[in-house]
Amino acid sequence: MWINLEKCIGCMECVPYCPAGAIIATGNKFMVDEDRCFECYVCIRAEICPVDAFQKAPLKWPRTLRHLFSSMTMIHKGTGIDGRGTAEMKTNDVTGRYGYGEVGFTVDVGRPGVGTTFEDVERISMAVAKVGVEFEQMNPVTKLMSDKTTGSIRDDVKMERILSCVLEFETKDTKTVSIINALRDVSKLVNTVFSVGCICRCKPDGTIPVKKILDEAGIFYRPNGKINIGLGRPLAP
Amino acid sequence: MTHTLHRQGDVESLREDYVVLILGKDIPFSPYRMRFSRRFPRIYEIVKKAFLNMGILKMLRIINRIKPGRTQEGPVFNDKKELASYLKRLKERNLGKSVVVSGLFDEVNDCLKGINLSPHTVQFSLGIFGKKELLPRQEILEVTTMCGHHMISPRLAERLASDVRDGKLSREEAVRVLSKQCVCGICNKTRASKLIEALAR
Repeated sequence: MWINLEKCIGCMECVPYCPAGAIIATGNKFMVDEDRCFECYVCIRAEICPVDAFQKAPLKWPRTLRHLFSSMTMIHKGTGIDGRGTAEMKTNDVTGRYGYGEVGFTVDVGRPGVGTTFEDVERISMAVAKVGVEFEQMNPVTKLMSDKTTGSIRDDVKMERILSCVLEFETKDTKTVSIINALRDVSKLVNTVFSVGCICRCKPDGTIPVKKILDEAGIFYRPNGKINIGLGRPLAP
Repeated sequence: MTHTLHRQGDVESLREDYVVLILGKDIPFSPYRMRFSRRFPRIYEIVKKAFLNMGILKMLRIINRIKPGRTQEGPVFNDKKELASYLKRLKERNLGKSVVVSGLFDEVNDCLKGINLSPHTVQFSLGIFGKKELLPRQEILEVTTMCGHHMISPRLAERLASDVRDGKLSREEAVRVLSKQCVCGICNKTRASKLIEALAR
């Protein structure tokens, strides 16, 4: 994204809209700090500029990733959906992706609203890979991995800055606490924040096996979350 | 797509915040939607937004005409009774589509029990890890996390609250600007209005 300085009237109306805080002053006008910009296009969608000074810059690889992971209107070629991950537990009633004895994790790196580089994403993916996880093949970040067993990410994209991305992986529920401990350890090494989600298939009577594991280990979870209510058909076996 | 999972706030505030997502059978692949949205991105956004802004009853009438594989985001509820009534109607319609409810576990489970359903799969939010000093203050996070894709900037939330405080904007206008940024339409306008009011005080 860039601002046409010949058009900019320096009204500052756009400044608070930028999730990256990338709109900065230059004299009595404003410009986009390219390093900080996520290419999320919020500034354009907000339709706030009275003189239409924002212009989309042509994006080349790997900068295209900024837009792909930051603008939620983009559709990832790999997943076929807009958004930053897959349908994960939302369609588990028909896909059966998470079964009994398994637990799924979503790690939204850069969220809420801080942003990240793939270098930090790699730190996290490599930390959980050591515990033993299976990264979701359809996930856009998994597709950027050079080695899906170690969680390493290809070198040419590591420094790209994005608003957030989702690491998705599954493992046996017996590894739940080890995964969370690995995430706690790596959280001290990253220059960003990440939000963690934990997915579990409920038993037919409605009990949630992973809840017991979290409770016994004294692991915090919020009182609100997501519930797939099992109306999808045909139901997965 | 974890955009409705990590909404911040205390239990009292979250008691007025439920999001329902309806997903087609063959998600994640939806060639019709992909092709259309790529070719006509602006029209796609306008149509999608118009669809999301429709009322619940109208939406229910339209649900049966949704092409297989399309995702339907929203609606957002402030009231548990309305949520329960909506879920009951969804169950009766037997659409065959996956339905996901985001909200307080205890409250949603109460609704499910009332219509003889039980959770199939759940996702817990284990909170935020890492450099929390980079985050805005909690009151702002409660506003910005209502757009899970974080299209609402913390600076915008601060600015709108400040404008309301100074009498430059009405609360309704501030909420309109705020919710416009959330393209998915999952920002709870009623809750946003209360949060902006509290921020403006």
